[in-house]
Amino acid sequence: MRDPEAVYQRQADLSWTEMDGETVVLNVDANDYFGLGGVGTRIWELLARPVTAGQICAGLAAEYDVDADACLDDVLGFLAQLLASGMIRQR
Amino acid sequence: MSGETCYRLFGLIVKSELSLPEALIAPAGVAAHVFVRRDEVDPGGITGARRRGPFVWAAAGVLWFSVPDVARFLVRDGREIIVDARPGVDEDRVRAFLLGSAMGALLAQRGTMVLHGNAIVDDDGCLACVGPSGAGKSTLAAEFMRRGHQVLSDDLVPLDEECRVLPGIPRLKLLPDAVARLQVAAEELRPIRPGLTKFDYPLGAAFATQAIPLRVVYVLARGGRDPGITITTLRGMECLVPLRANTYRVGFVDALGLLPDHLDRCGRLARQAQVKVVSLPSSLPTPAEVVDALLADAAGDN
Repeated sequence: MRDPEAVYQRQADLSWTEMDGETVVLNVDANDYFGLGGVGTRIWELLARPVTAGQICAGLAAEYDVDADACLDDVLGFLAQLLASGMIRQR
Repeated sequence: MSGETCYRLFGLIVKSELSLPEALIAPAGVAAHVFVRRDEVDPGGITGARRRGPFVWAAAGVLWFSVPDVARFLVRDGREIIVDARPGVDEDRVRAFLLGSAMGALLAQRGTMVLHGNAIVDDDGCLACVGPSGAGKSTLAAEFMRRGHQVLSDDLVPLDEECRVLPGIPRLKLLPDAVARLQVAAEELRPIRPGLTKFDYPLGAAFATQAIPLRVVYVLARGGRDPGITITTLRGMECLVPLRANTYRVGFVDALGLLPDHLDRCGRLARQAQVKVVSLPSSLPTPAEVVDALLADAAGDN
């Protein structure tokens, strides 16, 4: 389950917009909007290219004061949510 | 059949076979962007399109809708509205839907975001008041006007790419109590639709004819728990839900497959203007009290 090497990427055909440092993503097929807070927005940016949870954490650690182990748990949990909502896919 | 006339509304030159007495006449010799024609519209909808509701069909760039006993409308490519009015129906009724729903669909096809409410000119910008039907939006517009503010648009508030509000039709749609406050006899005004007790109040010099940047969107909400009027600024993604809820005919935007474009416009709007919720207490304040609160708030943001 806890696989920092799995590669994720955004689904094609999604639209999103930035609002004051936060992001709203539209999944047209599901007719649903998904809001991402500040860190979520940064992760969403990193998901523009194929990326692993480990790489995301490395990116975040450079910008935020986070504990690497807790970060990986949080990021994997967040990616699972994005996966379940059809916003990203695992390659 | 009447001849064609060119009108200027929502930032467009509209050449129409239907007379639009409430709209501004366009200057002579200007090329039209939009054509309104009378013709037959297939009662069965559009072949190859999707049925989006009992009275709505849509395909890319085309929206068909029917108002039973009034007219069928076909809105195409942001350029053309075909009106098929039922025989003998009152022109005022047809025009109410032409200038409302049909123009709303056409503006959506042109990529123009349209809010449902009104826009009032204030210092260095304009303020939009949006909210559900019956929230008293037009009554507020009348109160702003009484205090010397110009009105840009009532009912449809279209925004251009730079989030400026485009001037609409120089009228307010008012209920009789708002008419009384303006001290004009209701008999002098033109009823909007037979059976509907709203009146067209011509704005005259109180109509702003230039596009003006939108500074604040005030979302009116009734039933607040506080005894007074409270105004809360929304941040980030909180802006999306009220902007979507107060988008004019958002169902048409969805049916036309234009929600991605609409989301982009919402983002742009949230970045350039403030979105604020105006919570009105259940003991409804007077229009003067609401306008006082909005102007004080808007002045504080300058």
